[in-house]
Amino acid sequence: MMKPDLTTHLCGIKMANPIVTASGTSGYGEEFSQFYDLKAFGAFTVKSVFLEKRQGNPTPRIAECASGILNSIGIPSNGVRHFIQEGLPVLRRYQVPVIVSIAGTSIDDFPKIAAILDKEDGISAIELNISCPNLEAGGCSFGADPEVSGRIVRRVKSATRLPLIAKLTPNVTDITEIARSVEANGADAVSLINTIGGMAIDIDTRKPKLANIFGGLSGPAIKPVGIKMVWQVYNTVSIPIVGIGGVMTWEDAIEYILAGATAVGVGTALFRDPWVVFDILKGMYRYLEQKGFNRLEDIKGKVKLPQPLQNSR
Amino acid sequence: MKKTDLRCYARVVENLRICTDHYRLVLQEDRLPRVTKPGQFVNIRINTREDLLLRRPFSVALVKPEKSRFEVIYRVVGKGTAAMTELEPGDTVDLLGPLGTGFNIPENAGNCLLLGGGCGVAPLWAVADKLYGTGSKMIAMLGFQSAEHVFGEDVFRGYGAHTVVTTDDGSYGVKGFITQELEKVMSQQIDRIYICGPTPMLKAASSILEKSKAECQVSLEARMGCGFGVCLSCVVSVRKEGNIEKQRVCSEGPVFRLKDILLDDET
Repeated sequence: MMKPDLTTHLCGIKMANPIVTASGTSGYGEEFSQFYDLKAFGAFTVKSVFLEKRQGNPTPRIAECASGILNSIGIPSNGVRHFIQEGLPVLRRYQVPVIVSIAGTSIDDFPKIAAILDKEDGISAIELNISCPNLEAGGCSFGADPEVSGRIVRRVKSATRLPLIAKLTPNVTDITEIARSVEANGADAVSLINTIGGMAIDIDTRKPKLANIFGGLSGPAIKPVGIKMVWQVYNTVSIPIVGIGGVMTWEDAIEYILAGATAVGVGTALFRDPWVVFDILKGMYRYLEQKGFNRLEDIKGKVKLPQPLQNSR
Repeated sequence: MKKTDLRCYARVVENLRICTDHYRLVLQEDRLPRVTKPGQFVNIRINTREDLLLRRPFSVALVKPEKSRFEVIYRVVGKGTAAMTELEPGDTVDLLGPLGTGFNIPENAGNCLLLGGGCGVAPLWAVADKLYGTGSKMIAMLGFQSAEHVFGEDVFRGYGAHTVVTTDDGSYGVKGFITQELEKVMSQQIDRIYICGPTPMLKAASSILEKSKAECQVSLEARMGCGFGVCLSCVVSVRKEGNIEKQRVCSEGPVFRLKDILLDDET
C-alpha cells in the first residue's frame, strides 16, 4: 500500500502539509522560529499588517473562558513598510510559504497594502482580514456585508497578481452569502472562521474582563461553529477552504477536512503548546494510514450524511 | 540554527500551603535550575483541567541547581491555581521556561533593598539567594495584608538580610504599608532596589524613590496568553528614548527599570 501523502495544494501554493498558522496567533514568525524551523507548517500566515503603525488596545487584552479565550488585542502593527523591512526578510529564510494577512481601517487601505506587497518576493498569497471584530472603524467589520466584502476582493485583485484568501467572520446571519460574494469577485480561497464576538464580566469588580469590553472568542469552544460553517461554505462555493477555529488536536484537524477544508489553521493551541503542530501532523498521517486513504483530498468533505443533503444552508 | 527548548517536565517534590492563600511548589528537573536567573518565570500547564487552555505564569522563587530543584510560590486566585493545589509529590508538571528577562544583579551589588508585597515577595527570594555571600548588605522589606498572609520572612533572615515586615491591619510586624517603612530607610546609602508587588505598592514606591539615586528594578505581574511573546496580551507602557511604547511583560520584561514604566496605565 502507498504511504499517505500530506502534501496540500491551496490556490496555487504547494504546501508540505495542510497545517497553517491562524493569523494573529503567530506574529511574524520570530517567536516560533526560536523553537523550531518554520517549515514545520504547510504555510505561515502572519499577524495582520496595516498600512500604518498602530498601537493596539489597552490591557487587559485577554480573558480565559470555559474552553476558550476571549481577546481584544487590537492588532498592533508597525505598518506594511516596516513589515517588508523587518518581518519579511526573516520569513524568507525558511522554506515555508508565507501568507500575508492584511487589514485596514478603510476599504482603500486593502488595495494600497496589496500593491506594496505585490512588489516583494517571498509572498505566496494575501489573506484579507475583513473579519476581525476588534477594529474601531465602524465597530462592525467589513466582512459582515457581502457587497463590501466583494468590493474589497475585487479592488485588491486588481492591485496584485498574488492569490487572495478572504477570511470570513462568523458574526453574520448567513456566511454562505459572504462566501459567494467573495468568490464571484475573484477570491482564490476562503478561510474561516475568525473569532466569535463575545464579552465576559468580572462579578467581583463588575467590570468587563477586557478593557475593550468586547472581544473575539477562540479555542475549542468555537470548533462546532467552525465545522458547521466550513461545511455550509463547502456546499456553496468551489474555491478551496482553510478551516479554522478551535483546532487543538489531530482529530479536530481531520474533522475540518471531513467538513470540506483543504487546509487547517491552528492558532490558540499554539499559545499553550507551540509544538502541537507536530502531534497534529503525526495524528493525521496515522489516520490516513489506518483508514487506508492516500491523500487528505480523498476524505475532503466526505462527511457521511444520514440522508442526501437537502438544503446546505 | 540552535533552537531553544523551553519545554520542561518537572517532578513535584512538595506542594505545601505556607500561609492562608499561598502555596510553595518545589519541583525537580535538571535543565531549568541551571539556566534560570532571578526574576525569570515559568509558564505552567494545568494538566488536570482541559477547559483551562492557557498556561499560568509564576516567577521562580528559588533555584537549587546542585539538587536539580526549583520552587515557585503561587497564590490561589482562580480555577487554575485552585487546580494546582491538588498536585502531589511524584506528579509531573508540564511547563515552559525559563521565560523573560531576569533582574540585573552585578557582582558587587553594594547595599541592596528588596521590596516585596504579597506574592511579589517570591522572586525576591531568588535575589537574596544570589546576593548571599557576595558581601552585599541586604534589607528586605515585606508587606502583607494581615498575619495570616505573611510568608517567607524566615528565608530573608536566613540569608542575613535585615528584615522588616508590615501588615495593613497591624496583626503582625509593623502596622501599615511597607512603603511607609521604605521612606524611613531611604536615608541610608542604598545602591540597588529590587521590587515586586501589587500596583498600588509600585505607585507609592515610585513616588518615594523618584529622587533616589539607587538603581530600581521592578518585576511586573501581567495577565498573559502565551508567555513567550507572540500573543501580545501582556503589554505595558514603557518610556523609551523620549517616546512611550508598548512592551511585552513576558519578553521585554517582566523586569523593567522602575523609572521607565508608566504605572498610571493598567499594569
